[in-house]
Amino acid sequence: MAKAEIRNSVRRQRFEHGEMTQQELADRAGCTRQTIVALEQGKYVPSLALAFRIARVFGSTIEEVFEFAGNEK
Amino acid sequence: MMTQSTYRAAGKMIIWSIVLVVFIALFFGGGGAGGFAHDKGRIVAVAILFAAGFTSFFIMLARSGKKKDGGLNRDERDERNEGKAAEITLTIILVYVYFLGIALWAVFQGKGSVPAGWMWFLAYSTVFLGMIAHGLFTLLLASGKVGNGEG
Repeated sequence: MAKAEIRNSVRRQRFEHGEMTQQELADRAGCTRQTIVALEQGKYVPSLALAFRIARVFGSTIEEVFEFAGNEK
Repeated sequence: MMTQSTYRAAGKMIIWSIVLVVFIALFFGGGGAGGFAHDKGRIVAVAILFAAGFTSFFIMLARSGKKKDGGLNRDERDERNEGKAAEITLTIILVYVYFLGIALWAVFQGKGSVPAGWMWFLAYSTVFLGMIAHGLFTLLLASGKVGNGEG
């Protein structure tokens, strides 16, 4: 099965929201800081529920934080 | 800083690696598989080792419960990593049991029977291998060394 490539702007969004720390974002989104690190490094694609929670923390829509960039590598 | 998942995986690996080393020393150091099934001293020693391993393991699990500040130390990524590690471990165990079984058959087919000590070895070592492999692959997946970029 081809992997979906999902890009995100979590790092940029954090800085645009008062340089929010990874730990603060993790606490507010309900995940661990390690998951935020993996997300920002493009090593992890979150579940839909976590993606919505992260977008909600930033007051954004899911499309503003996560971008579908093709389905083949 | 580790999540609960990686802390437990590291603890699991360390505890069961120590148990495996002591088990191998007891098993092969005391005369090997040939006389193991009739050597009550070694059987009891390995049983105590097995119990000590599980006791240490459960103490480690109990000590790595909820964070003191109430924060989250485990999430969906940890659960996914542990699930993937379990899948890999299952395959490793299947292959291990298959090859050890075939090897024992190849070595002892001319002798008519396999020493019962090897059944003890197979039973214990399968448990130890499963624990160590699951801890190892949970750590590797969490570090992004294997299986990252989930999509």
